[in-house]
Amino acid sequence: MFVHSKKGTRRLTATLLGGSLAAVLALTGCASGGSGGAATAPEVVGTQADIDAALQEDTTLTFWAWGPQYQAVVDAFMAEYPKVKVELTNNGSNQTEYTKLQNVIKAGSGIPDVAQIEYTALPQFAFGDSLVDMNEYGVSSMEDLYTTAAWSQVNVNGGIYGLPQDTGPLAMFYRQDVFDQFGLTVPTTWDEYRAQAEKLQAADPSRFMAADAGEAALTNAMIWQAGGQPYASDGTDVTVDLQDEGSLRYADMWTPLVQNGLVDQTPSFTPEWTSGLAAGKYATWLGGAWAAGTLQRRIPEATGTWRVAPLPQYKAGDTASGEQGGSSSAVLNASENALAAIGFVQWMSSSEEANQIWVDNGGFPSTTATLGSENWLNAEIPYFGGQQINQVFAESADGVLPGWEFLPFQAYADSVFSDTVGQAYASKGELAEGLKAWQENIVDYGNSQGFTVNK
Amino acid sequence: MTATTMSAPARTAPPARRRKNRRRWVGWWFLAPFLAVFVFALAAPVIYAIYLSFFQDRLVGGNTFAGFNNYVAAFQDPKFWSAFGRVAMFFFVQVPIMLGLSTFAALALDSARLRFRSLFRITLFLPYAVPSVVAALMWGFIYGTDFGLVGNLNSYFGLDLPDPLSSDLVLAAMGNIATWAFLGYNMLILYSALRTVPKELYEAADIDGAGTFQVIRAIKLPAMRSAFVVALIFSVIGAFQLFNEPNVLRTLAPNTIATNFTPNMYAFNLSFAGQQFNYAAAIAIVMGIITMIVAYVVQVVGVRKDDQ
Amino acid sequence: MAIDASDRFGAVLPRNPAPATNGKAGRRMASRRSQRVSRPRSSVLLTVLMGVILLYSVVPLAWLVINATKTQPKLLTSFGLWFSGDFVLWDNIVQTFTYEGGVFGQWLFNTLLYVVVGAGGATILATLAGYGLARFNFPGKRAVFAIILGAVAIPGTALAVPTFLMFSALGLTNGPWAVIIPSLISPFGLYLIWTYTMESVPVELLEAARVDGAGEMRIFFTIALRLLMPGFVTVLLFTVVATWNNYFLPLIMLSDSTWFPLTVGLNHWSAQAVSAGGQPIYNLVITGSLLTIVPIVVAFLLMQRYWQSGLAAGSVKG
Repeated sequence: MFVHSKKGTRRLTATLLGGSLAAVLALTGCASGGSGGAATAPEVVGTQADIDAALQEDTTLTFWAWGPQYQAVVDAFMAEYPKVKVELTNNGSNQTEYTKLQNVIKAGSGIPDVAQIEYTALPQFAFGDSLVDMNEYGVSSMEDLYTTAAWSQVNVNGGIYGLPQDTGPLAMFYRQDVFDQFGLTVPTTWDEYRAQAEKLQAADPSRFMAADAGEAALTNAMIWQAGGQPYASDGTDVTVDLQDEGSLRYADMWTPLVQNGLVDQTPSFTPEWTSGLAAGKYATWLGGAWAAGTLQRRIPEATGTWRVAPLPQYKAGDTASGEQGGSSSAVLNASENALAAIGFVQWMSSSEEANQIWVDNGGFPSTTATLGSENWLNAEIPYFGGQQINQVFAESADGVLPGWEFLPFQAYADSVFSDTVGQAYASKGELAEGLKAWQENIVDYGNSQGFTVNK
Repeated sequence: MTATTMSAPARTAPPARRRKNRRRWVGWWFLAPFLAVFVFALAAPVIYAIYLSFFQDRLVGGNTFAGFNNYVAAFQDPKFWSAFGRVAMFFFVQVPIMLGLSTFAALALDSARLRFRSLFRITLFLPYAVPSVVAALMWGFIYGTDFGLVGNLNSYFGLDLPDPLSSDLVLAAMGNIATWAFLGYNMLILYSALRTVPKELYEAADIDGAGTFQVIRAIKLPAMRSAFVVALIFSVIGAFQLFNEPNVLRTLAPNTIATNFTPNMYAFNLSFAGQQFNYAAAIAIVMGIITMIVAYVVQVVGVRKDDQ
Repeated sequence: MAIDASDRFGAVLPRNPAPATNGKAGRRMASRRSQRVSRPRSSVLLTVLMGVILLYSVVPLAWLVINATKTQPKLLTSFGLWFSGDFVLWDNIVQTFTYEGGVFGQWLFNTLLYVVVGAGGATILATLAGYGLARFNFPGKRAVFAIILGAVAIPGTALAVPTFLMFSALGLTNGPWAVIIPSLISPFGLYLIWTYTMESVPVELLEAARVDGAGEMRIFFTIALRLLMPGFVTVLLFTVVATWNNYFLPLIMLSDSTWFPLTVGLNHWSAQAVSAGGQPIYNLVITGSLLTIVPIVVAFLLMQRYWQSGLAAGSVKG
């Protein structure tokens, strides 16, 4: 009943606002779950007033996520909008969530209203026509609330397929105690980084500058910082160039560290790695700003030993950065409560309250309001010896290079990273060769799936 | 029916015949509940998988009939064959070791000369009760070279044990987990076959003055052969379907356990990471057919020896 | 030699090497049995060798027990095979049962439900069908038998997606039936019962009952089932273990954690450690793993008595 009236409202609104037959046609196509042409100019399907009204009606929303902070966010939302009930399913990890999302989308039933989706996976689900283009609900007016980098990552071929939650500007986390013990200085360039790595190894062969067994997410972020733009797509035309200038600059810089055993090949987030971090086995950790929260949760006993510095640069004095991780909240096309779902996502992504919960859990904000707040910027974090770490992150966020894109099948590409680049790590070979193999694999897959890749 | 046109003798015993005819179909009634679920939960998905294997659903361009293209691709796919080679090697190395140990343990359990027999019988079977997910998780901790048991042993005893998850050893590390989990299980299957040997046979051998090893060779091993063939067939299936151990250990050693480490993992990653459900179905069916053929050959060979 | 699978499997049945058991010699030897029993010369070497295998089986379990008594930091830094720091087994157990609002207890209950309905049902279905195949001749029997046993060779992981799509179309996903229905099928159980029936349910006995006018169902429940009890318990043991350990299909089928079985739940907890925003709870994963194993071990020990008598019954018959 409610569902029908909702759709009716949407249709009516569209007719009133769009005032054209085309809008109605596009809408009926959308409502029946067909493959609407999302890439064309946004049709207005609902307004902010509709969304606000929907939040005052009895609605139940299903929400899939895996981040630990979402229960608190959902509780806060329901306290503010008591008529909307949000049922949160914690899927445990991103991979599990994507697998399940793919399955339910293929089956056409059991699809949630809202889902947490990382920026890396957003193009894939947007391309599969599984997500609501929120431009059709006028969310483009929210653009100014977010950082440019965050906004650009939810923008896929001109559509807005999610609203940013957190971002992951890169920084270098390092162990002050280990640096002190071995007389290391905080590197500002990658050359210095390598020099310190050699110094550490020479002094104590059981310690390493970092742990890196090769990971798609970090490699992409590092290529990003090096100025590479290996992926580009325009509809079904896809370009993959993992041999571009930036990619090779990164590969040439990192290869010696791998070849000379200066980085330890322990995969991150394993028990071994956690123990290594706790024991000071790794002097640095290159990661997104969220790593600050990860460290505090994982090794609380290491309070006071960690510090944060800007990512080393290829050229002294630069401030280039990239992003690793970060996710958005998206509304699924199959949702019968799209208006309320969008309202929920808006609140979750932009309200001060929700952002505070994120920040308290170590998430790096994507809203300019939080980023600009003195409170946040000047917070002295005891875990990091009272350092104002957010200033380092904010600086990094400013330096994130524009123009980065992910593939419309990034999940597949990332899944075969270890089969290709990972082999270069395992054999201590040239990373550039590994990147080449990775590219070939990606190109083959894309073409076999009907994309036009590198043609 | 021929029965109705039959001559006098048939007509003289109509009740018996009718009952026999009825009994011809009674078997189906016993089978019906099993078959109903079997058809619904196993046969239908298999048929659906076969159907899927003849199509290609692409991210761009949608679903099209592909004929035997997926099968042709599978037979020419080096990733599939390298995965197949790996499980074949696993089968030829791990299975003999495991079944050898199981046979030894079964013979030992059956021997009057073993002490604490019930303790051994129960304890060796215990690992079978450990869910493979938990087992792989546990062994993952144990295999750690820094903070796991391997690392502990290295640092406490000054050993230099190599990383069990390095590319040279990772298959052996999985073989170890599988051996650990199924040694006791196979032991019990073989042991229960031994228990069916009548005592009198041993006594006869005893009178004839046969030694322990002669008894084993002449009585116990032949008694175990058929159970052995069963254990072997299930080991073939287990080896060819190897999935849980590599899949869980993969988070610890992503570079040494490729996405196509075993055929089953390959099919899994094709469908879940690459959304190539159709090709994955074709791979699974090819693998299923190969498994059936190998299991059949094992059986034929086992039976032939039995006849000798 | 155009013989189908049922004949092939028939040929690999454990057969009794009977020839030497009859005749006077056998009886004469029976009288000497006491003499044989009275010389239990135990072999130290054999016991030691078995002790090595026992250590191999037990060490990982000991590791699990020992580490369930440690705090998370100690877990990662202390020697794996000995206790270290505070003995917090009880704390860990309490935490395991209270974490995330006591969801572990819910998983335990789900697992029990799946085991009782799934494994119990699978054993009943397999017993009926195995007996039917072993003691009745009917059209299509060989083909059916071959198909059922052949299906074992199809990799389950590959069937996950087709099964999911089918169940989804029927609205069965994300509920208990999605886990229970597939676990009702145990081709191995059917095969075992078939074997046991061939061995321990004499055709003559059934024929005698039929002559007395008993119906087939009554014959099954009053005569055959009693004889099949050891086999029934054995199959129950295997299906209980299989259901208890079931992981892959529930993982695909269920999205709502309130329906998870223990295996999926534990992996869910374990996966927390692998995501950047997650809180690693290794100590709870390990304690939970231990708690997962305990009931099945207890069940096995309890069933062991039946199992043993089953084996004894089998050997007496031989």
